[in-house]
Amino acid sequence: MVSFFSSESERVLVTVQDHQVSPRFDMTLEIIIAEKGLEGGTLNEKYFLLAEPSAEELCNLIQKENVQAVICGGIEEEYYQYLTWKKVKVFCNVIGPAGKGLLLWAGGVLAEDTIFQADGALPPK
Amino acid sequence: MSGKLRLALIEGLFAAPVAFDSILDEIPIGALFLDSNHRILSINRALSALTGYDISEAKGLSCFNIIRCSRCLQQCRQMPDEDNVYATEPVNIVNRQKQKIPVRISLTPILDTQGKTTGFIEIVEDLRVQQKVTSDGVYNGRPGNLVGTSLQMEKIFNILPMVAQADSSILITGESGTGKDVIAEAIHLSSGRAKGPFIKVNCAALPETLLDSELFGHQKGAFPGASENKAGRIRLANNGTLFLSEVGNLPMRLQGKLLAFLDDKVVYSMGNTRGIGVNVRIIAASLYPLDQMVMEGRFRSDLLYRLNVVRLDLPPLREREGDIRLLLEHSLRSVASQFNKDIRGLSDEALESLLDYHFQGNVRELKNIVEYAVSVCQSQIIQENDLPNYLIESGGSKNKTPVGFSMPARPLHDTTADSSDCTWMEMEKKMILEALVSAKGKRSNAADILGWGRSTLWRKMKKYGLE
Repeated sequence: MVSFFSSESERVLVTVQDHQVSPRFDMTLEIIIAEKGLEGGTLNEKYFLLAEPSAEELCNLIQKENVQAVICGGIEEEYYQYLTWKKVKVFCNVIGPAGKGLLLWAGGVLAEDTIFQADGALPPK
Repeated sequence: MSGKLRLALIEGLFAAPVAFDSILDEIPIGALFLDSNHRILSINRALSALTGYDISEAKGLSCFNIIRCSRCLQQCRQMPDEDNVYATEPVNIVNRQKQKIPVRISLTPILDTQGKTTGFIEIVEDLRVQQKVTSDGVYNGRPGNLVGTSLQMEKIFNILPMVAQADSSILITGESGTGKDVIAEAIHLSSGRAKGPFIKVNCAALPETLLDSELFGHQKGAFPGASENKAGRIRLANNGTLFLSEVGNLPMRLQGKLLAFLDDKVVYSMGNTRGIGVNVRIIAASLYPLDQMVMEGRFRSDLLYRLNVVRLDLPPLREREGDIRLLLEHSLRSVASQFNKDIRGLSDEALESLLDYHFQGNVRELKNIVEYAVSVCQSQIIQENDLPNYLIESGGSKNKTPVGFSMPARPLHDTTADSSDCTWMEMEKKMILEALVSAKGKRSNAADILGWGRSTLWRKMKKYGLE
């Protein structure tokens, strides 16, 4: 995959299924790689379809594309540890629309275990 | 359960109306109810324990977000109709604690009085209890994946079934990597509680307040941010086993609270004065010598006596005569099969180096070494140069121990003369620093030197603030 982003940005990979954050990292076929400028700013997004689901391939892609953060649903411990070791911030157990997750990430307020309600809103604090 | 379902009653079945959620919670297998759009209406306590999500979080979400079954992304859209029941073949789920768990799921439509589908009931059965190793006669019949023929381990394996059935509290001690977690799970699987949940809590992983809430639960409004009731791990382990890993790290206040629970088996969650009776077996494990911690006033003696009803001391691998070879064979076979490589065995030199090594990281280190060797090996036989460098160097030039299966007992990490004055944590921190210096700051090499996985080194560096 040819890199299409500038080196001055921060990148995130979101595992997607039907516009929602995919519930399984290892079963994901659709991903978004997005970037934001160092001072925040507009998101630049690209969609990819994978040939087959594979957690190993996703990990390779994450490194190859210099992704700094991953937004996903369930992920196995070994992949979580591996990515964290590679200094990739993993926002796992995120449930809800992928776009909403991206917006929170771009705003610097996304956390692990974020659950959006059925209407896409965050649960009341 | 909360919201409308909390008030749901079953009427006309018993002499008086009974609460629906209390019945659902008592079912020892994971169960959930879905509406016709496959959104979660209710889940029971067993499923909460399995998935890590309670009803306050799960309610209203699509089932695949919580169950995360391997079929969810392939076949879930083809939901069953009135005449059809979702396949019950074994699949797997990934829970909130990042564990992949084999399960069997069945999904059945619920019909209204006109015969129209109004929702679904989904049953999620944990298959871990049924997955016993049967492929090899050496450890066939033993619960879990326990390997070993040494006298020390045979002694433990022999008493394990009796200990499992006794339902007493158990304290497991042993060095890091000796298999405390594996033994705890094996005891659970051999006990009468095998069908119940096995809930693990790492007492070293969370700060005191969070650990309190995690263990005992909290009531809505008990503290800022407590927006919902939380059952707590002890309640989730009802009719099962609660495994307290690294219990020596439990803060003093929580030691008192745990002791009170062990006395009367009643959980008092934060912000609730009404206790809830729970039927849980406690298995605790510790790396640290708890007797010494009692003498130093860092661990309550009365809690130690409660936990220490049955004590299992797991020997370090270097003291397990003959087990190194057995574990090597077993690990080699399973890793080669996992990596899809045709590796037949070890060369004499490689075997000699491994038998001559002290395995300070015990079984975990042995497995890591085998994994490394299988990864780099280009032929059918693992050669000495396929082994990690640190092992060849330490085995070949430093340790002049004769080749054999019986390793002389050696104090763990006796690398420095002033070790006697250090606590375990200080010593471990020092070891990490020394390894990092030797590896010129390269963490992967430092992990190799220590005989740990890279993630273990990362975790411990984080723990000691060495990042």
